[in-house]
Amino acid sequence: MSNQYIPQTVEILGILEESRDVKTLRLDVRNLRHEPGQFMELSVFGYGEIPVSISSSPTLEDYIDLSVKNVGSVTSVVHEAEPGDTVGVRGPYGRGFPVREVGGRDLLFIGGGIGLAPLRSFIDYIRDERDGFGDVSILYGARTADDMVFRQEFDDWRSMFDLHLIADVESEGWYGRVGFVNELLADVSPDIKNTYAVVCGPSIMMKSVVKGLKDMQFPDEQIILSFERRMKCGIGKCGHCNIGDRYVCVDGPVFSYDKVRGYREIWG
Amino acid sequence: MGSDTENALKREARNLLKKGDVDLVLGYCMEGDNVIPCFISSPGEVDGLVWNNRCKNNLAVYLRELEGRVAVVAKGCDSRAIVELLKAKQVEREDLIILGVSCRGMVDKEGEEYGSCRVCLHRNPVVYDLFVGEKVSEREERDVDELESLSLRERLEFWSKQFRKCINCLACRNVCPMCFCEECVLEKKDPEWITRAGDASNLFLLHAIKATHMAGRCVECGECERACPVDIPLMHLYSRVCRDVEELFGVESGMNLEDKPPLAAFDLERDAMLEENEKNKRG
Amino acid sequence: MKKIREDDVIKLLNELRKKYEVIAPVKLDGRVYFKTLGEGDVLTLDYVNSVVSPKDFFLPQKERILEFSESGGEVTVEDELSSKKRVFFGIRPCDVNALLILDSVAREGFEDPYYLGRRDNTLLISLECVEPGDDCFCSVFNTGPSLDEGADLVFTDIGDFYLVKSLTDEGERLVSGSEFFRKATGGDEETAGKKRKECVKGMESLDLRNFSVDEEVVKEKAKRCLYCYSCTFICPTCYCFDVVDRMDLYSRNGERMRFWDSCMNPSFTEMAGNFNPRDGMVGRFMNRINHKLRYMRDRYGVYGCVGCGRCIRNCPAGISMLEILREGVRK
Repeated sequence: MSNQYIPQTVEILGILEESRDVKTLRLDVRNLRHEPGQFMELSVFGYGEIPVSISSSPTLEDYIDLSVKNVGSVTSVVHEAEPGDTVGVRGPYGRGFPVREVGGRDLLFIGGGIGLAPLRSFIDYIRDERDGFGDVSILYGARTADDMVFRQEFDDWRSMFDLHLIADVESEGWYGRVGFVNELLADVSPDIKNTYAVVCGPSIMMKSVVKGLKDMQFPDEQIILSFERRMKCGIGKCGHCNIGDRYVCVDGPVFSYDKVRGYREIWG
Repeated sequence: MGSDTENALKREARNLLKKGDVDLVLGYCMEGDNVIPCFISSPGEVDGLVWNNRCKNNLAVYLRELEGRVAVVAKGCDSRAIVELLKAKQVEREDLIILGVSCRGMVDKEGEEYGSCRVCLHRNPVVYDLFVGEKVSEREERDVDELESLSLRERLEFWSKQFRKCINCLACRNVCPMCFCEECVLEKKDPEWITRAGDASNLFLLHAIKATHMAGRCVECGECERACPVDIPLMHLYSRVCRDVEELFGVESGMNLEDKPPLAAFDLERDAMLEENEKNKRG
Repeated sequence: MKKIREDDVIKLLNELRKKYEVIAPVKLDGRVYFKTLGEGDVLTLDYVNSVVSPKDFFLPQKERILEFSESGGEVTVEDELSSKKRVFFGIRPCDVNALLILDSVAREGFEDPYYLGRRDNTLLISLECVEPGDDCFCSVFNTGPSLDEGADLVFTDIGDFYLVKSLTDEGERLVSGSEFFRKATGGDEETAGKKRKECVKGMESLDLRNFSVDEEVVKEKAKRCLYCYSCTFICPTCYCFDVVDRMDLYSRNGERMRFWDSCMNPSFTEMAGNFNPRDGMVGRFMNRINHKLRYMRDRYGVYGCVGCGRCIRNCPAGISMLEILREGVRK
């Protein structure tokens, strides 16, 4: 019996500062072959373990990226880590985005804050496998311009995709739009029949985006959501992450809206 | 324990609800052959109210969560808990109508009197707005504490054995009407003082912390012991700590609204505080 | 079918102790607990059920799942899996069924090696019930009072003897390898049959085909719940756990522990940044009931309750799972 609870120890190859409270750990994990949207359990020995979305594309074979926002006791230690340090990882876990199912279709990515992390894995995958997908639009919002993550990729994305940015509040040096990310839906006119919307962000943002998508007549099956819940094991044993009879860790974190619509507590 | 008291309770409850003096009556009802706490919000439901020797719950534990004006049925220990909650400013006096009832001791399903009731010295409510039924006579003195005659080593052994049974569920804390801290040290994560993943010494520490926090607070209702799945005689420990506080500071918990809570107001010049509290008692 | 004299049960267990770790019911402060038998422990056969459920021996209240140590910048991680051979004597049919439920959680998808290590190395000798306890309602789920699968051996009290039924090869081997078992008669089997029938006669019967959780009724009960967590701790099927790391204060070594958690605890679902998708007491209470009576059935095909009655017996607010079932059928 293999023991899924045992993390593999890996070296931190590099650390990228994404925003004032988000850092990306580039880890020495090779040929993981994950699905975009899956997550890893990241261990900082002595402090604990947290689930983190893989933010790099599976097309990269030499490393994986885990992007971590400094919000709690484990993540604050992660933020003190340095290249060369050892952390533990296990995974990949969960069901990722339905990459094959949406092949050839147009995609509308809608991300909020650190919620762009799992989307980035998918977006970069599409960048590397461009022929397999239709038109791609990315709508991204964060609290301020300084809170936007993966900014170093925006130029690259702009050259291939349609990228719209928005900040919740104004800040110095930001000349772009101010407002919530669901407002960006007005900027795009997707061919609903042929488009999948892929959404990840804070609960309240996902709720309003789903409402916006429903107003645009998106069918529930074409609204793809990535959820975040408190998890301890990542493998369907500890019982923390349930939404009804589903476990976000093994049945998700990616669900199409039709699969979870009926449950209480999806938005909290 | 008569239906006279029960009928009088119903009468008062119905009146209060009819007149709109309260939004809710917090009392006891039957469910099957169980007596359960219940929340009555209309005169029509008042007939469900009961008063008998199975009304064990300390209803004060619900008060902090309830909104609006509440009439609460209070026997001795409930009323003492209310006094403590008022002292700690956890409930507002003007939101409460206390329906005092006297208690002859509560029994379990098998008819056996609860341990906390066997040693109870305050069966009559200490504070109330309306009193229903008849007062009962109080026992004059505490029973001799058998543990007291044991040596320190024997007592340590006794409690160690008890705490070894503990499964760390925290029911003792969760049901305690006096445990109202917004953040409990027993579950605090950062820093973590007590862990659920700990060993026997950790369990001992957990109970020692809980007991010291009950100093000057425990109203001896026995909810902790009844909720404890493994029958640890927790109230004995808490009420022992309270007796120390009584000796040191002259305060018996839940007896007098004017008493200063010792944990909140203890003074290194303990005699000054003792004197002041003695004065309150006389005046 | 075999039988064993009541006086011989302790002798059998002492015999088994030479080869196995033996877990059996003992009395402590007047109540019954399962305990690994050691010198001086006195077996009791007079009990309805244990205070704490047997799950403690398979998914313990706390356990170390791994150790880590650092030297020279290298981190080493090691686990510790149990392969101790054990015999669990006296487990009631409801609790055997509870283990079957825990099995389905532990075996679904990725396997849980700690639980399954203990489970696969433990022989179960179940003691059927011939007299139900006040709060027992296993009859509702057909998880007792008798047992046809899940244990290795099943004992039924028939007076001076226990009738012994073996359900597995391992159980059969245990019986044939011991001198304490003798041949049972047709009369013995008849007595056992009668006792089983008698026992179930006094118990609740509900047709669960018409059952659904009556959310209004459950919400009403949630009001008086004190969120004390004790129901979830003593429940034989509650499996949720939390995990923490603990460091040795004097070295670079540490351990990762897992321990029971309760969905009644507000922090159960709370995420960093103070977002709690299950806010409020009613939501927590509703989840527990729905988890037992709806989600488990939908996911694993079995109800998450076996009717052992522990939660009813212990609930300080007098909340009864049986009452919730009755009210869900009545409607």
